Amino acid sequence: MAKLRNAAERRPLRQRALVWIEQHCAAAADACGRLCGAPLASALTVAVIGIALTLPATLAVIVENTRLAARGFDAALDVSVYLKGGLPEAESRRLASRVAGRADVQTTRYVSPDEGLQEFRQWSGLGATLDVLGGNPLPGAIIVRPRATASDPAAIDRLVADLRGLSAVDQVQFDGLWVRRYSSVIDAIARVAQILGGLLAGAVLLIVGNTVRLDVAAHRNEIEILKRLGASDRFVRRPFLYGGVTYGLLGGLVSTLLVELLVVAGGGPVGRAAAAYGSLYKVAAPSGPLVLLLLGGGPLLGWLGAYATTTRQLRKIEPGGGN
Amino acid sequence: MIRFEHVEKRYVTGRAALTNFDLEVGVGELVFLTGPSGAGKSTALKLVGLLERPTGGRIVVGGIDLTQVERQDVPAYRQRVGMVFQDHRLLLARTVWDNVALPLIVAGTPRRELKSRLRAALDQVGLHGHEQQRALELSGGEQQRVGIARALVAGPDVLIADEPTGNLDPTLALEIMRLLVAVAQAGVTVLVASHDVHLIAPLGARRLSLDAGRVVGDAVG
Repeated sequence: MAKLRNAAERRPLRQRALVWIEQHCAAAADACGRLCGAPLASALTVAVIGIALTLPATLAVIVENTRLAARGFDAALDVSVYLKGGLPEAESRRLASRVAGRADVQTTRYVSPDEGLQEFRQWSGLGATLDVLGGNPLPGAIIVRPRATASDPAAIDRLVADLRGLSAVDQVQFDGLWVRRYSSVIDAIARVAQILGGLLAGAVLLIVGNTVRLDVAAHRNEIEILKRLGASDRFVRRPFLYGGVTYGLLGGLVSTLLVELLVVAGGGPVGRAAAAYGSLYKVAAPSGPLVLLLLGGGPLLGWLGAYATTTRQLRKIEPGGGN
Repeated sequence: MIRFEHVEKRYVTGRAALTNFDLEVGVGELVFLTGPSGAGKSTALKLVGLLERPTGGRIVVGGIDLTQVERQDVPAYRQRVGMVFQDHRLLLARTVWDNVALPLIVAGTPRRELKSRLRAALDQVGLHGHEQQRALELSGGEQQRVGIARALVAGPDVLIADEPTGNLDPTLALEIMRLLVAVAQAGVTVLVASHDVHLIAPLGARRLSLDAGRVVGDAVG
């Protein structure tokens, strides 16, 4: 049978759009009215959602800050390639250029034997002893900065192995093991934050779902009347969806404020600890994407929780009496 | 307008509410379904309002075969049928205006059209001036008139009323029945379930007598 068209579907598109906006405004106002009608219950729901979102958000801020602090460790990933003694400088420079052309290499810096000796003289404090040697025992070297970060140790291992295989190379030295370990710990915390985020997102769905379920039950009589008058499930569902979105949005706001408060509260002691080690490091506020995730993810979870619950509940409310 | 063809309605409990039920009602006709409790009056109305589905036979209302209406099309169909109930089914905390406006809002009527149509419906049932009163504050008869205004406001082709005078005293009951007669005279097909034969006899309308889910009499007056 052909689809039955209701009165609204027979109206011009512009008028239908206007009615659509009117109905959404009415549904949003209705949802706000319901939330304000039970302020304590609504506040508790929002607080629970806010706290649930705060835990993974705080971990995410810790990860962001630890990664920021680790930015200065890039040099620790440099690979020192010592060339065979007696290799002509021109050939050494050509080799440095060839290595720099590799896709997995960010930059190279050639250090001639003379430059190497000068650097060694500066930081070792053995200048007088070196003079006794009479000549320069140091080979030329290439300092290679890999494109890969510490989170991709296999790529760095491949690069080191390739460099070792070059005929002009005598020795390859990589001291970035501790950076790798540090990075692994950050990655582990990030993974925990992701898992917690997923679990607590599920919890938010359940919290919103349960709140909306109670709300639907409280308005059962009204819903039944609306259905008798020809209201579609979509029409009946709308105010509950706005309710879910509002819970999620307010929960996201609470969470953002709590995380900001934690950063302010924890920033002082961390900054003082860093200063004790001669660092100017300061705890960074939650990044823009994280704030957007909280303010966008909260309403999305609220909508999903409300949608799933109302869809299931409305199927159970039929005005026929269920005979 | 309304045609029942060998309609059967059996509930999951096994009880047969309607058996081999045939009925034909023309456009603008007023038909009373009478009979004792359990005769099948309310079930017949529920089937016309698509509040229930028949377990056998065929029902056609305004050219629409109700046995073929898909679940997602039920709301669009119900918007074409006005329904009045014994217990009024009003939102008691809301105003008369809010209650009567519901079918128009549900049907997607623009806000600027509401006023004139609501006034017309309230005038029709004699409730002009009660717009801002809450339904809770009205008498039983007034509440029923609100129910009738709500059923009429969207301009339905069919009006079904299930024991609309069940909770009213005889004077108010007669007033409501006369109102339904006027609605039918305006061209709306009206189907009313009532067990009160004394009340409907003076109206001179068609009366269908039911018993145990079967039609046992079809007479006028």
